[in-house]
Amino acid sequence: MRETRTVVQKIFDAHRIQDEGGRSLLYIDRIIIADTGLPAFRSLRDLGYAVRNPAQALFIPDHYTASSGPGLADVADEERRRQIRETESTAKFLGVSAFGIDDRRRGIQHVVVTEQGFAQPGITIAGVDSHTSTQGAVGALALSLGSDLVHALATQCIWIKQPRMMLVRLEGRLNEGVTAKDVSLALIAKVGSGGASGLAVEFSGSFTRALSLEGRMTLCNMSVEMGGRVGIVAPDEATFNYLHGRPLAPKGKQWDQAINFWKTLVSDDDAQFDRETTVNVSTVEPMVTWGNSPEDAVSISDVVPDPNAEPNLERRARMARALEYMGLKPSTKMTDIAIDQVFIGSCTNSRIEDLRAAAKILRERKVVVPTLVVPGSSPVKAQAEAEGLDKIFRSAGASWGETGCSMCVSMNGDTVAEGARCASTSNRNHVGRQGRGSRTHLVSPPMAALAAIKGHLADIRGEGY
Amino acid sequence: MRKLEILMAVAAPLEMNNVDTDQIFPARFTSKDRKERGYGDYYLHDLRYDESGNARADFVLNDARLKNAEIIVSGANYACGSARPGAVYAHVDRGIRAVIAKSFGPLFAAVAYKSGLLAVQLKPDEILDLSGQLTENTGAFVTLDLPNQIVRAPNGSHYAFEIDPFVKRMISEGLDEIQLTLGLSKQIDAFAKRQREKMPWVFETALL
Repeated sequence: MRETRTVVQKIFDAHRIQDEGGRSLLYIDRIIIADTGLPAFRSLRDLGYAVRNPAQALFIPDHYTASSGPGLADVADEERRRQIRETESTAKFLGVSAFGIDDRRRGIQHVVVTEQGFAQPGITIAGVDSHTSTQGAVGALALSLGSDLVHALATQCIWIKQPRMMLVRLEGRLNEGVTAKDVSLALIAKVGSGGASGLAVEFSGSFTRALSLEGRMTLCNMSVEMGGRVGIVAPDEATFNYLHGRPLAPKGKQWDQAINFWKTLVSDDDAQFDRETTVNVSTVEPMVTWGNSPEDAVSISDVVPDPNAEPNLERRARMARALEYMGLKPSTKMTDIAIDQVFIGSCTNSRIEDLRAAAKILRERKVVVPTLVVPGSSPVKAQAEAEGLDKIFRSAGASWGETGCSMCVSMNGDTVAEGARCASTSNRNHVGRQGRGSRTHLVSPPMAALAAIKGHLADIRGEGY
Repeated sequence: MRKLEILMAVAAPLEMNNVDTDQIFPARFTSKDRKERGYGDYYLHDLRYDESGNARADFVLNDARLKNAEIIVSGANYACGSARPGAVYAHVDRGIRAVIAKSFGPLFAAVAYKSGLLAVQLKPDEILDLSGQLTENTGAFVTLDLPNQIVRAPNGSHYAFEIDPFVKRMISEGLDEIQLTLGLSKQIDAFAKRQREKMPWVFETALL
């Protein structure tokens, strides 16, 4: 064991059962299964294995749930209803706990597990979904497993090589109109979509320390878009305050015991990282993407880049393909790009802080393009309604939906039409991500709200935000 | 699981970087039952077919000579994006046994082998050379020699690759990893017991 360790190494070591052939058998404390988990349950059954510790798993439907209404009857079609119904009934049959479709705690898995205190500092938590990294914001080692979930369900462990480490120091203070989302996009533009390939990314620095847990979730969420295997912020007072009183957080004597342990979860001063980068966030401007990778991000005051100015031939070809798909011409001002619709939601930006930011822009104004606002969970929805945010959205002409992944990945039927252009607070602008032929521009919640009232991408600075 | 030791097969060049999982297996197919007809038809579906479902003649994988390609050769960051299991299964169900690329998305190489799909990383200039040969000589064979960790190009040149010994063993022996792990049940249970004592708050809280 190393003398000095990063927080990820500390959590990893504490869950390592044994090593073999350069890999470790890592114990998984908690498992999340979404409504995309039916194939995993089926493989398990076909292979003849049981769920080893059903009490450590939690089912939450989010990908197929409707934004048009809360229940199963609202779900788009029978194929999707079956996914939700069968995953939920299988989960219950196997003894897995469920925040099912009719449960008032349900929502986007990554929003729910932090909100309920299911994700905690120092634990290993795993799910299929790539954005499981979001939960690293509370100091958990949060792993996306994809098809490996079957192994985790059957054994309560995974085989994994200890990831190498990347330290991202975020220093300074944000300028007006800039959010954690913009910092994420600026960082990904800087290091590239493979810039943290396979690495465990720890965020530190004065900006990260001063950032709310919601903002930290956005950072950790987007860490996968630069290739990160894990995103994490070492827990601190802000984390403890966030967790205190959450339904599944430790209580009474166990709370004190937990805090004492959580305080040890910091990277040692001289811990070694394989890669380091620093961003002074005071240089970050409001960001927007123009292409089909989150790394294709520029300042809103910039223009669409010209592939011919790109010396790298491969990159030039990719840029040209992206511009053709996106229907954009080089040198067009980003603020001149007209949009057809707006989506505010997703595990990246659907928490109360995000909705407040969007509402601040939409208050007493009108959207000029179809705008869908989808809260990250039912409790977020209730909180937003208690604050009157839903009224602001509705009177601005936006739709106020039921919780779920919705138009971020368009698996519930909320799609962007072919060739239509969407300003979206989600995490991916891939070809076809929001529906076949959809054109996505990734932005922050206030920038999305501003685009909705302007009908084009617009600069939030000077808009009184 | 099917063993893979030496694979001599048609290789298709997919000369793109960042072929993300939204391309490999579009999300809208995720609700399809894999048992019914497999996910093979959905592999790179929207690149292979236009909106009306007609095959795009200009897309490399629609060349009749590459229809049965068992090896895909691609650029950097292959299979980045969503972790959806269908992205791995789509390869397997289409009969693809190996992907050779400059680099892979965060999860792909770490899980593909569990389904018998091999992910091999070569250097950028090696990929360039290999892709060039496959483009010039459509339908050419590439040999993937796992025991010796070598890729042989159609013109006879060969490139060595690194592979995790654990992954190598799993794939070449066609082992069931879950069964292997469950052989360690005693160790897992003993660890779980210690874990409960160390972090009782994680295990004693009723979830509902």
